[in-house]
Amino acid sequence: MNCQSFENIVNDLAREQLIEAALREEALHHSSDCATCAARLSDERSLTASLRALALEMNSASAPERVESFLLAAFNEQQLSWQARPKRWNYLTTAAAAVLLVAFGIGVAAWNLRTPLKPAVENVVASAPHVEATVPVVNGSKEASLSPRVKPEAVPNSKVRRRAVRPRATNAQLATTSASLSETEVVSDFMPIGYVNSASLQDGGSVVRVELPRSTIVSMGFAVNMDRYSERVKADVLMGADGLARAIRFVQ
Amino acid sequence: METIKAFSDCELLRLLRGGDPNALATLYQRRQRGIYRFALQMSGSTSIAEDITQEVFLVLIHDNSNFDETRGSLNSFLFGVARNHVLRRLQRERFYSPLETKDTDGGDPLLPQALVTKDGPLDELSRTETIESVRKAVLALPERYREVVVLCDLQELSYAETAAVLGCAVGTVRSRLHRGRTLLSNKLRPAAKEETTSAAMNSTRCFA
Repeated sequence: MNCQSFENIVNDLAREQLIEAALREEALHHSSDCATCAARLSDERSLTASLRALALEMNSASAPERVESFLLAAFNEQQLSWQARPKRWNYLTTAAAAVLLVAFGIGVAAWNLRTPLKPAVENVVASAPHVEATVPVVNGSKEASLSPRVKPEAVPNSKVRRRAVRPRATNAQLATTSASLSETEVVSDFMPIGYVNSASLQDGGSVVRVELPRSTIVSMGFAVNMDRYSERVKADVLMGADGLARAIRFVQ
Repeated sequence: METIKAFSDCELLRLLRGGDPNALATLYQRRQRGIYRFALQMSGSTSIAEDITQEVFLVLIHDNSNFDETRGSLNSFLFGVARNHVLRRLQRERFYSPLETKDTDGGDPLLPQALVTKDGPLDELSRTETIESVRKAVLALPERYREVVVLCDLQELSYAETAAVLGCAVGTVRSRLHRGRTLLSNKLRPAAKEETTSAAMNSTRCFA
């Protein structure tokens, strides 16, 4: 062993750490031959003894009792605050309720989107008796084959027609309400006129009873029986707020 | 209470998490001395050591989820927390210089009364002076070497435990300890020479 190798393990040797027995013997043998390394080992041992004396003197040192009292008080306070705090399952229950509420809201919104015309048509129904009271009803000739003649394919805008046909039950309610006023009348569903979309039908409006020549019905895009071209047809026209005709239904 | 004292640190920590105050008391009694002495040896101040001990166990009460059994022992974790607090505190106190204060009985508050030995008064004085000089030399070491010397030599932790506390490799601990002890020897050597010189002068004066 040389002095450099001895320097590497002199701390462990002086501090009596676990090292290989052979290495230890070799180092001790080197220190007996080398005066410098012997002095180095002696210094290290002296330092170790001094440090151990210091550690021994401070062995009795410990934190005052008030620290323990403070810590126990802090611990008890924390336990009390935890008990007062809402439990974990409360959070879970609240979260589940919130999720259910959101899901319910989404469902309701989706349902409303699927039936967009319902409120508007009801609005029309509500306003219908007032209009019919002000507009004189003309009881003209009867149109026996009205419904078969009004073909769905005659509606120019198929998209508008599809949306208008969807609330069929609501239009039936409208017809029923009108029928209560005049039990002898049979009415068809409201059909949009021109390029009116379903959104404009939701704005509501007034229903006006009119009599139209069949030529006018042809100009609206509906197919008619050409054998009775000169005869007139009774119809209810749904007028928008701007005074334009939005939809029409035929009365028999 | 007697059975709980036989529990390991980790078992006590589990009980502590479950809200058992006896587990905290047992852990505190078991570990507070080491933490307090470490803080005292690192800072040289009893008030700082007291504060550090309190803060370490407050961390154990409020934020014990940071402890991971697989990374080391609870003792190493506590020493690591104490070390961080001590370094932070020393960094903060560096800007202040302490007032010169003396105890009413003339003793050093840092030296426990156990320093008084049953040997003769000269031996007692020599021993006290030696320990005091070593204590001052340790406090004068740079922090990175001081903490290794305190942990390895004064707290008698192994290299591996010290490495876990400091968060470094065992080789780093060994090299820092070597360097720290060399610095310590250099600081103590002049004092030893002065003591020898003054002792020789005293002898001369006696015989004259």
